[in-house]
Amino acid sequence: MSQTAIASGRAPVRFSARRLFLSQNLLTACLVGIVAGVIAYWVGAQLVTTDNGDAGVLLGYIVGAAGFLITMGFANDLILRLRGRPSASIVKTAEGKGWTEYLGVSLDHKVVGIQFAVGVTFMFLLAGFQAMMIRTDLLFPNGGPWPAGQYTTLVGLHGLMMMFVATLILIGAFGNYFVPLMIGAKRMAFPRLESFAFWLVPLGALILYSTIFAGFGGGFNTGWYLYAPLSVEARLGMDGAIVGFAFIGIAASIAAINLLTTIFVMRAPGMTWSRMPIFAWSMIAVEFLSALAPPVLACALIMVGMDRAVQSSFFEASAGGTTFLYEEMFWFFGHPEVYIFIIPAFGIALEILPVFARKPLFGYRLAVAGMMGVAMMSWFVWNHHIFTSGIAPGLRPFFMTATELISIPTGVVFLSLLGTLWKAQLRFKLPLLFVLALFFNFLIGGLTGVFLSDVPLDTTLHDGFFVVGHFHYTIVGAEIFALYAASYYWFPKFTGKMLNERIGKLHFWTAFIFFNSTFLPMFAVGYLGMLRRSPVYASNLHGLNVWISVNAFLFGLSNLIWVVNIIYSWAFQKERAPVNPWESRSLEWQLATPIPADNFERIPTIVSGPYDYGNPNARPVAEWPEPNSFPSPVPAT
Amino acid sequence: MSTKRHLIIPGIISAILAVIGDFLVVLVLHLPPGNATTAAIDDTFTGQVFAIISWSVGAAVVTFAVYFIVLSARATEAPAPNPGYLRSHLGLQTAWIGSSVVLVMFAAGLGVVALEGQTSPNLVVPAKALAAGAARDPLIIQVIGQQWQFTYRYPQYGGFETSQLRLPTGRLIQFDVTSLDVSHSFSAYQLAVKIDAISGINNVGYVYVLKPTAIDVRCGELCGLWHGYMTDVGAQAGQALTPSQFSSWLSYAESTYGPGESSLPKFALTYFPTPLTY
Repeated sequence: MSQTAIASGRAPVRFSARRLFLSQNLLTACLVGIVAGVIAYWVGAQLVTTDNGDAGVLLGYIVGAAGFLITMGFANDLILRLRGRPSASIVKTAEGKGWTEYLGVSLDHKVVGIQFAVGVTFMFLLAGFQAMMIRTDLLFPNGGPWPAGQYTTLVGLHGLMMMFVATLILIGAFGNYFVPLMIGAKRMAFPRLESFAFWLVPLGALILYSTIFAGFGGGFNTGWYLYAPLSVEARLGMDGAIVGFAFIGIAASIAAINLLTTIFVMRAPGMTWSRMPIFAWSMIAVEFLSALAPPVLACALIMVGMDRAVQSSFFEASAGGTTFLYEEMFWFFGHPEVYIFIIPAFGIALEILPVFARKPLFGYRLAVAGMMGVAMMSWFVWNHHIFTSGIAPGLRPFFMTATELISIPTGVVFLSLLGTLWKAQLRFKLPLLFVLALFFNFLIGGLTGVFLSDVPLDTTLHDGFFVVGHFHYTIVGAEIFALYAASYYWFPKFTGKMLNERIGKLHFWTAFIFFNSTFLPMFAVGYLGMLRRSPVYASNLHGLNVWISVNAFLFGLSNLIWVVNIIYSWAFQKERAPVNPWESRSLEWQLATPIPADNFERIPTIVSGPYDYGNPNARPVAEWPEPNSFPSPVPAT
Repeated sequence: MSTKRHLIIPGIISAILAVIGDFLVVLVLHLPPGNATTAAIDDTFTGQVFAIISWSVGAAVVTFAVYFIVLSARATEAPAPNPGYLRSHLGLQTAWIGSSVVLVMFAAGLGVVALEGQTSPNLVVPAKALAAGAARDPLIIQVIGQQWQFTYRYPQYGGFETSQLRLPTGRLIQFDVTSLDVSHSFSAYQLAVKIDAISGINNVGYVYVLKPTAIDVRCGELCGLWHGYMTDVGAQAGQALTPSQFSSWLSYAESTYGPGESSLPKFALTYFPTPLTY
């Protein structure tokens, strides 16, 4: 209900959005989206005749998406406000509508969290399947079963889709679901925006995948960089890649503003900065990046789209543009982007570690400062991606040093790990195992990054498999392992069931071993001169590549074990999980499972920090008001 | 055991591991790209230094972590709850940050020193070429990237164009790299050279070749359909020749390719080909 209604004491005015406009139904929205898209495509093709049909395709995608989103109901509130009516209620009243709730617009952050978790995991598996196809091709040194054009499309699909996944999985699923619970809020600051951010994601993924069909352009050949001028000249499939990527960027930005506002203004009384869970701190650090970096990308993509559709020649050197502009804009977004992947992983790792070490997190403040430092410094290193592109020589020592300096705040996180492990009473449960593996993987990923920051050495290693090994060690080895850890840790809160321990152990050992046996040899093949994105490589690297491919398949299978575990435990396991199986002090574990629609019937007062484990005299983390001790600040509806 | 001992034992183990690993790095692990050029020697050296640093740091972190984990797992009875757990330690944190600052500044310094060899404002690839005592009279080779091959022009010898790279040892080479279409990357592995070929831009890099070698040239930047096949390797590979071999190749090349020069555009640092129109 609106705050004005509460303040004036009037009964809240409630409008059914359903009555206002078209029905909020996924099927209707899809149909409207398709019809709008086809009409816009036709109009675009009539309006602009000087291109290869790009204007029509771009308009079709954008208008189709807008039609879908409006039909889903995202314009309803706007229209109400424009008509001078109070907006519809955002307080959830009932226990939900069952599983259909997950197919529509929901203003409950818990529903949106699950939507993100399931949707993005599905995207993860799809993009992982592309990785398997790439590795199949690389079983052969002179080009494998896929023709050259399909191979580059595969590389692009895998790269872009995994970018989508890595940007959104931790923030979207765990950030949306748990941040309000951790800080003692009843909801997110902007629930409609939150749902809007989610629904852009399947749209973006769908548009990206539509490009593989011949009618939509038959793929795109630029990898995930979409480097101009190749992307300007590419086939029609590029238009889908541009629009899909831009949608994900917008979604990340919107989700970031929402989470930042929520953490800044909606913390429970007593939730001071130094009592905030470190995962929430990691969300602050990362969301500054996520709010500010993707708009730069969106601008670059719009410029590519204009170059393609209306010949604006931002990036066409022969017409006065410059390729550097794209490279600079892309990496100005692209480097903060990789810290968007990794900082939430730090947050999850440090959140889980003390729970299983049964002692306080070591160096909490320094770890927070470290994450903020990483976030801050990540704006000043982007040129290390283009050392060989011909940047001004005076910039190179600066960007080299800045890149190496960023390892200092990153290293602080390792000090927190060691300090927390010191004299700990470890409980070797699955979340802890994954967190330890995460630190091991990230150690290798981080140390190999120093090789790449060195300008002279970069001339040997750049564009090669050393780089591929390095960023897979950080993104898969750390971020995806954080996803595994978080899924085992928070699954009981999500679903009320525990993930099966035996299948989980199998998943852990296969994932850890085969991840390392896949990506460790990549440093060697990279050092030996194998370049990225090329289906052809020197014949002396054949043996190593076969080894990598076979292990990659096994690592892929281990991910299926994880999925099987999730499905089995969620759907077929009868036994309910305890409310707080890990004996965590964090606020979300103090709530009942399933979490009440309103999260907190009465907002608790936070009286101590969340990591006071191992102290028998520790105060409880929050004081919960007695049901009738004072009136609830929001009247029950 | 006392606290001190629990820090000394993993400290000793990681020191031993560091020494063993570093010896292996120096003596056994022969890091590419080899010793054909001054830049390659430089990259090999830098790689070894970083491998030593990485191994030492990595081994220490893993050793301490594993030691603490084993200590916890072997504890027969749960330790008594300890309200006085260490939450932070100013000295430890300062030492940790201080030592990482020292390591990082050392690595950065190493890179900056290697960059000293640069001579031109557009230099892409630092080669320490001049430091090797070469005359300031480089052989200019223009590398032209195009979908999907590299061609090479020798402007000091009439500007003829070939599709195979030949260059002499013992002379400073200046690569002028540009592209006719999309972005490519001229990546010559044995030379330790990687220079992006960008339309409308002349990227310059230097190399000083010490000994004759085959040169594998591949395109390093995704440039479209046949990117993977944009190579100059195997029997067709580029070659660094001795000065006498090179001069005989030059006279052969001038007589073979020279007559075709009239159909080439005049030598320039960048080219904008007229697009085909139908």
